[in-house]
Amino acid sequence: MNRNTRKRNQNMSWLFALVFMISFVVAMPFMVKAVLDQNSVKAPVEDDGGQQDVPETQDPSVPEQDPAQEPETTDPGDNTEPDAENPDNTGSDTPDEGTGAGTDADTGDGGSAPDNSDDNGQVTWTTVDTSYFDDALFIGDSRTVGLSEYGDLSNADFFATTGMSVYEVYDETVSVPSVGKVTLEQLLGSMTYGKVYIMLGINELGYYFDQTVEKYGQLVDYVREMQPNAVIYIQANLHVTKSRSDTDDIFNNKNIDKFNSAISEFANGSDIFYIDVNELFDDASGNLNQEYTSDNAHVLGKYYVVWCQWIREHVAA
Amino acid sequence: MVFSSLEFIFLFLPAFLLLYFLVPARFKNAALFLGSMVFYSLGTLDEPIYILLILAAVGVNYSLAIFMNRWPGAKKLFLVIGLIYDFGWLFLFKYLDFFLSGVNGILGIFGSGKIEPVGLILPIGISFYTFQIVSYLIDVYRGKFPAERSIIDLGAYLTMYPQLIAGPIVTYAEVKERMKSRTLSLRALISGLQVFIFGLGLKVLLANQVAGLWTALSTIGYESVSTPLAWMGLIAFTFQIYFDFFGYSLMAVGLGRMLGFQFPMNFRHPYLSLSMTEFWRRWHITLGSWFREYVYIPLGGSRRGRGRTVLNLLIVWLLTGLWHGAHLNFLIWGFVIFVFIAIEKVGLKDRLDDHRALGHIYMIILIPLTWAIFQITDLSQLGLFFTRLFPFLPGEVGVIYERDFIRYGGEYGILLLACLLFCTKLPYKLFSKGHDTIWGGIFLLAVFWASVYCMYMGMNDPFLYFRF
Repeated sequence: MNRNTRKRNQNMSWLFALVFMISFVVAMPFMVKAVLDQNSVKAPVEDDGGQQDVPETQDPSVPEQDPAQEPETTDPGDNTEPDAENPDNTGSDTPDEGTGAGTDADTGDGGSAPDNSDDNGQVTWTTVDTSYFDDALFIGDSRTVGLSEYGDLSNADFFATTGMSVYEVYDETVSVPSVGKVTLEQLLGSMTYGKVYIMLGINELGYYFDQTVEKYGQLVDYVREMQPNAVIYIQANLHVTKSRSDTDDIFNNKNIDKFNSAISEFANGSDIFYIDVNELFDDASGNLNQEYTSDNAHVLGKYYVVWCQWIREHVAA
Repeated sequence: MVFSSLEFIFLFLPAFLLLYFLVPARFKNAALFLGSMVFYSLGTLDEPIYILLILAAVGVNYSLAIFMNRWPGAKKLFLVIGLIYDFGWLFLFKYLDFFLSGVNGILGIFGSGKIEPVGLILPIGISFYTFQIVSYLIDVYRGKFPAERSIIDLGAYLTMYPQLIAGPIVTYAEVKERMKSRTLSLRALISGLQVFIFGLGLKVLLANQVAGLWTALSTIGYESVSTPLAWMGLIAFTFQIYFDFFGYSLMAVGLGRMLGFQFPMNFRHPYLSLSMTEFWRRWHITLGSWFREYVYIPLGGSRRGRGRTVLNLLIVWLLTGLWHGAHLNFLIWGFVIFVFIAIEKVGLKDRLDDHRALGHIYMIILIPLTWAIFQITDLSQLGLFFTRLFPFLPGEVGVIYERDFIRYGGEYGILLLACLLFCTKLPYKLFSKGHDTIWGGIFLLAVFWASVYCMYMGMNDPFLYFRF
C-alpha cells in the first residue's frame, strides 16, 4: 500500500509539473510583453456600466474658458501666509488654529466683496466657520480619505476611497456615514448639497492625459446637473515631494501641474471655483515639503486640520 | 532583480535552466558562474563597477587560500590580509558614513569642523557574500579543507545567484561536495519548484500584502496613530519581515534544489519560540551559525567564565546588530537582544521552558517590540512610536482618528489571521505531506498564479502599489 501511495504521488507530481509547464508556456508571451513594456503609458480605460450615468453635455460653456480667468487660480490670499508657516512648528499648535476659526465667524473680507468675482475674473475668498460644511460633499481619492479621517470637517459627507479616479467614480460604492453604502449616483440623487469639493486626478496620471481631462470635465458637468444649486470646488491635486517627483516618470509634479492647470479651466468664477492647496504644503521649489510627509505623497495625519482650516478660508465670497 | 518578479520567473530562470541543463556536467559550474554574473549585472546596472568588486573578491580570496596551502608558515599573514581586504570593502560601503557621523559627534564636542558623509551606495549582497568568502578563507586557514583549485568552482559558489542577494549564508563546507559532483533529476527539479512556489507565495501573497498596514502607519505619522492601531501595525510588520525573509530563503532553497544543491534551512518556526535564546536559534539560522562559528567560539565562547561569556555575547550581539544596518538603532536592537539573552542564561530560560504558556506570552510581546527598534531608524520617531504603544508614557499626541483600528482591522483582519496560521507548523506539515497529492498540486498552482497575478498587476498597474 505504501508503495502504491508513493507511486500515485509520483504520478501526481508529474501531472502537477505538466499542468504547470503548459500554463507557464501559455502565459509566457504575455508576461514577457508585460516586462518589456513596463513603462509605457496605459491605454484608455473602457467605459463600462457607469457610462449612462454621465450626462453627455453638449453645453460648450465649459471648455471655452476665457484665459483671463486663469489668474483666479493664483490668489495669494494674505491669510494663507501664516498657515503655510504653521506646519513648520511642531504641529501641536494646529488644533488651536481650528478652534480659532470656529469662533470668529469673521467674513471680515467677505463683507467687502459680496459678489463672486470682480471684473478681472479675480475671485475673492472669504472665511467661514465649520457649519458651512453641513451641506458639503467631498469627492476624492486617498488624500480626501485622509481629510475625512484626520480633518475636522466631520459634518461634511465624504465620497472617497483610496485609488478613486474619474474613471471609477461612477462605479465605486462608498459607505457614507449618514447615508449608507451608496454609489455616487445614489448619493447625489438622494441628497442636496450646497457645496461639492472634488480632488481627483493623481491616480489617473498614467492614463492618456486628454482623455482624463475630458472625463474630469464630464464629472464636473455631472455634479452640476445632479446638484444644480451647489457651488463646485475643483481642488488642485496635491504635489508629491521632490524626491518622488524626480524619480517617478508618472507621479511627478510636472504631470500634476499640467493636469491641475487643465482642470482649473473648468472653473467659471460664478459657481465653479478652482482652489489650490499646494500653496500651503509646498516648499520653496514647488514640491510637497518633505517635512509634512513620510511617504512623499500624503501629508501626515496632523496636517489635515491645517488643510481643513485652509479650506475654510478659501470659500468664494 | 528579485525572485518575486516576472523578469526573474519568466525570463531569467527559464533561460538559465535551459542553459544549465543542456551543458555537459563539467561546464555546469561555469554556467552557474556565468548565469550568476548575468543575474548580478541585471541588479547593478547603475553601478557596473560592483561586478568587478565581487569578481575581485573571488580572485583575491582564491589566491590567498592557495598561498596558505603553499606557504603554511605564513598562513596567518594571508588570513589577516584577506580579512582586511574583505571587511575593508564592507566597512567602506556600509559603515564609513556611520563611522564618520560618530567621529563628527566626537569632533563636535571639541567644537572642530565636520567631515562630510561620503554617501556610497551599498553593493547588492555585499553583506552576504563577504560573510561567505570570509568563512571560506577561515576554514582553509583552519585546515578544514584544502584550498579550492578551480577558480570557476569557487566563483560559482560565492556568486551563486539563488543565495547571492539575501542568503542563506552557505559555507563552502556545506556545498563543497556538491560543487564537484551533483546529480540533477527531474524529480529534484519538480520538488525544488514546489518549494520555490511555496516561498513565492509567502513573499508575494502574505509579506507584500500585509506590508501596506505598516506603511499606512508611517503615512499617518506615529503621533496620530491610536494605541490599538500601533499594536496592529507592529504585528503586521512582525509578519511582514518574517514572510519576506523566510519566503525569500525558501525560494533560495527551492532554486538550489532545482540546481542540485541542498541549502541549509534559514528559519524553523521562529515565532513559536519560548525564549529569545531559542528564537535566535530558529531565526536566520545561517547568520547565527556564522557568528557562533567565526566570532563567539574563537573568543572563547562560554568556556572562560561567566564574565567573559557575557562579554562575548555582548560583542556578538552588537556585531549582529551592526550587520543588519549602519544605524544607532541597530546597535540598540542588538544590545536589547543581548540583555534578554543574558538574563535568560542566568535562569529565566529554564523557567520559560518549563512554563510554555508563559514563554509564548513573553515572546509574543518581546518579538514585536524588538522589531520596532529594528525598523524605526530615527530614534525620536522610535520614542514617539513607543509612547503610542504604551499611551501612559508621556509624548506628543496628534490628531487621532479614533476608528482607525476598526478601519484597518476590516481591511487587514483576514490577512493577519492567515499570517498567524503560517507562523504555526500546520501549513508546513501539510505541505511536506501533501505536496505530491492532487490537492497539493492544485494548491501550488493556485499560489503560483495568484502570485503571478499580483506581480503582474503591481508592475503593469503602478496604482496597485502606488495608489493615492
